[in-house]
Amino acid sequence: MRENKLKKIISNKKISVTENELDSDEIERELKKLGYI
Amino acid sequence: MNLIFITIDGARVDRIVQGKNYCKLIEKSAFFQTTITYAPFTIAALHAVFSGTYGNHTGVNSYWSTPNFKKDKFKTLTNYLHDQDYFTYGDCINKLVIPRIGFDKLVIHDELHDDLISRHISLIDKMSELNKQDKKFFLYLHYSNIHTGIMQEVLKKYDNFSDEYFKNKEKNEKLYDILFNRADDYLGKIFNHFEQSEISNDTLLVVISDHGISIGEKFGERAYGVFCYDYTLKSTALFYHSSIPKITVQNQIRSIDILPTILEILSIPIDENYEKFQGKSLLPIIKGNKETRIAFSQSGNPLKTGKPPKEPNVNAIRTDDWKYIKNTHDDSEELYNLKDDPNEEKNLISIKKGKADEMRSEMNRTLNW
Repeated sequence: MRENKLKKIISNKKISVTENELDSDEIERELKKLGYI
Repeated sequence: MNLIFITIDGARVDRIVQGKNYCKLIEKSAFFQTTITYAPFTIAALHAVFSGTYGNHTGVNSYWSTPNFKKDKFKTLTNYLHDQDYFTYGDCINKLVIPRIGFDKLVIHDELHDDLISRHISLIDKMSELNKQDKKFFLYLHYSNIHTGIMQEVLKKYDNFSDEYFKNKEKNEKLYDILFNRADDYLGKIFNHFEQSEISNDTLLVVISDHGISIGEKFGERAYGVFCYDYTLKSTALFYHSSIPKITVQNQIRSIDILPTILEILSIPIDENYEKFQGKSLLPIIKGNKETRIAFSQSGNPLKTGKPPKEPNVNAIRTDDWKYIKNTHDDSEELYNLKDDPNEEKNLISIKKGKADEMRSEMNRTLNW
């Protein structure tokens, strides 16, 4: 019951970051988003 | 005690000490006005803050090196709190800028469209609800809109050598001030909401800036992450709770000192299974002790390539009075007397040879730590 309530409080539809390793293409994409390259 | 940690990305210290809402908060806090960042760009700057250690040791010393963070050797702020059974939640600008490890949830906002004031107030309310169920929390909030404006109006319009940018310092200042005033407004609204909430008595509030931003001081750097001059290396750190003495400290400290300070305030013991921090708690200084701390910084000058390098090529050692810079890309050296020459315009490297030797040795000690 408590776990469900916690999940409800923290739920969010935005992009959530996972533990997946970042590869070089993804880093390049992210740096472009930030305007650095 | 809970923790709310706010980064005001790219806030310059000269504006912070004049910000209407910043000043109200500074009066109530322990405020470190000269917090020298490890790196004048967010990715390496915040990894150093979160690990209490310089990026040349943790592996995150460039824009490209987020995946190189040595998470098995360096325990992060988030991990410390997670191990103490905190619920750990972050709202961040981008997935590269802070270590992912230890967060129960790390969410990326849309810096171009999200309203960060209402979004972050809503998160504080959610954490407050959680706290009512006897769950401690760590909430990380990243204010990204100074970056957003600089990205749109500077990074995408000019390069590091655009005459049009460097000839219009007044225009650059006006843009920066508009962006900073919005950040100050954000901080005021977040702090007012926090102070009126039920969690304020049992929550440590930490507010930092991660680096400064150029307004055209030095040709070759239109924003940050190129050189190691004070207009980008100077950041700030602020600790607010009713139990913390109100003090403004002018002497320099390092951004790597923030993590050990938070752990000491929260009475969380250092985990001996990990490498020792290079940073040291600021509590003795908050309690009135005078200390001198030496700061080390690194940056990556893209030169004419248009892309930041994979490894740092500018190193700096700074004391309260002096700075020594080694540009490894061309083997040049710089030495500045910061008291007499705060804008770092007169290179004394060939005049003050004894001081240069002393600072060079200090840099080598740090690099070989």
